[in-house]
Amino acid sequence: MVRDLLRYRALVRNLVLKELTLKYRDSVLGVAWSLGHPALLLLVYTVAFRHVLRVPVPHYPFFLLVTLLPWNFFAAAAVASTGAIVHNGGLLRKAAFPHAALPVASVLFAFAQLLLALGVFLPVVALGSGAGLRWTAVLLLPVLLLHLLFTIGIALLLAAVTTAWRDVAHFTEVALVLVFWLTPIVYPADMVPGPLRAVLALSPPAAFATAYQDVLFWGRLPEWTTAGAAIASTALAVTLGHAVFRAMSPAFAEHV
Amino acid sequence: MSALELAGISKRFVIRDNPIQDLKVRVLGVFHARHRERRHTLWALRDVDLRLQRGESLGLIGPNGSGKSTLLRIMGGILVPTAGRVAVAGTIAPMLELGVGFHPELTGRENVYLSTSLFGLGTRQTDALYDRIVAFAELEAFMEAPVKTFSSGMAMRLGFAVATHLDADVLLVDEVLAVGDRAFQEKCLARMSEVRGRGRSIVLVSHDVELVQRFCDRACLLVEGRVAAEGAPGEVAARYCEQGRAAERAHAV
Repeated sequence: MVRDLLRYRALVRNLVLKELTLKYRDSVLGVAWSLGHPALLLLVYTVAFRHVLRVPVPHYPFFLLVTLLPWNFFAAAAVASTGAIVHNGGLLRKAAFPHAALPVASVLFAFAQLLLALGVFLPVVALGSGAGLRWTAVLLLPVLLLHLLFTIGIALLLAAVTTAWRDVAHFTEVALVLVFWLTPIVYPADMVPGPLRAVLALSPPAAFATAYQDVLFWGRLPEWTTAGAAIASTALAVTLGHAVFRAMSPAFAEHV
Repeated sequence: MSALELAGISKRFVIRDNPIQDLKVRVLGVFHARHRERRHTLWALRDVDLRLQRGESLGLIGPNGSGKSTLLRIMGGILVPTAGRVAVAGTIAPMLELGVGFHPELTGRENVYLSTSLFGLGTRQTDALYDRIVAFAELEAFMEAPVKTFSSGMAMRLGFAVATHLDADVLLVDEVLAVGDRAFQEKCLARMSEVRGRGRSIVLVSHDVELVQRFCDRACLLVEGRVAAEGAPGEVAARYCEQGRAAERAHAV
């Protein structure tokens, strides 16, 4: 699959460019929407959680930013991937190409928006809040890459499974809302009561959220349990996503 | 040397007769047989053997539902056969539709790059072909405009230009010539002859028996998923017409 995708890298690139072009062409503010959307979320969550619910974290907007943007990437990619195969029946029935290009392009499109938003907001908010970044921020790169791989694994799985059960698309949307609130994004993990914390820490999104918080916000090395959970869940997601997608892919042209 | 070889190809489709199977219907199905899922299988192709020589053009004819398009999709690697083996020497460009992957909001240029990459070409390979594609389509002045502003003829010309400039070893053409006007058809046929002249092979699916006789070196008649006749286009076409009349007579009785 990897070799096929490398051979068709122009296709992946053109699919991502197509999404970017279609999203912004003819809109007055264009790419600014990619920044305006997270900016508004940051504002609203900061009002709700710092000023109303008083989450005891210093530099709250910065704390929120480092996990909210990656979460938005994961959620957008997961939703897009459920439609990546079933909404492209026209292509699948008319051309022979590596089908994985479609969900992978969906993920990369969301990832491009994450990079843009991080590139703009991270320096502004980190410096603006007075917290600054420590040397551990260089570890953002491996964390991002791991998160990207994890998301591609999940996207392959969702894209394939949706062709057999369309309910997966609806289920994914609901599940993402649940997982969002059960992941330490708007609150720090240590606010969660003991026994529940141990359970929630097992979730891959929590491992990634903690890793982003560690390297960017707290300026420390992630604990080995966090790193281990992120790496193990990535390996599992990629293995499972790849296996399921490869097994189901030959029948896509008949089922969509 | 053969460019494409099909051995014992069969294709079965599973058709669901009552495709709506939500939870309500499933629960009802426990109590009433009427609501249970009913399927039947359809053999679209049965034990088809075909060989395509390099530089040869093969016409596929047959009535609607005889399996021509299914066969073309199997040759193109889009569908996987239920049984049998496909051996391909080289690359295949399926032209099952003109302008596959074209998006109306994208410009002509963007669509050319998207479409060629769908057939496996890299950006640099498309760069090298781009001017020739545009010149063939006679759209030099329009490539920066969205394809939605094109007339249907312009979009067809661009789609045809892309598919025939991919320089694949085998070009699969499904009825796409039927949609254009006379001038477009002539231009396309000339281009396909040129492609064939360079040693490329072509499989042409058409209802137009005259077109097949004029363009193809060999023809194959498919009836109900089986090869009913194969050979010189004139003879196979005669069989097809004869078979059509027989079917009409049977229908009249």
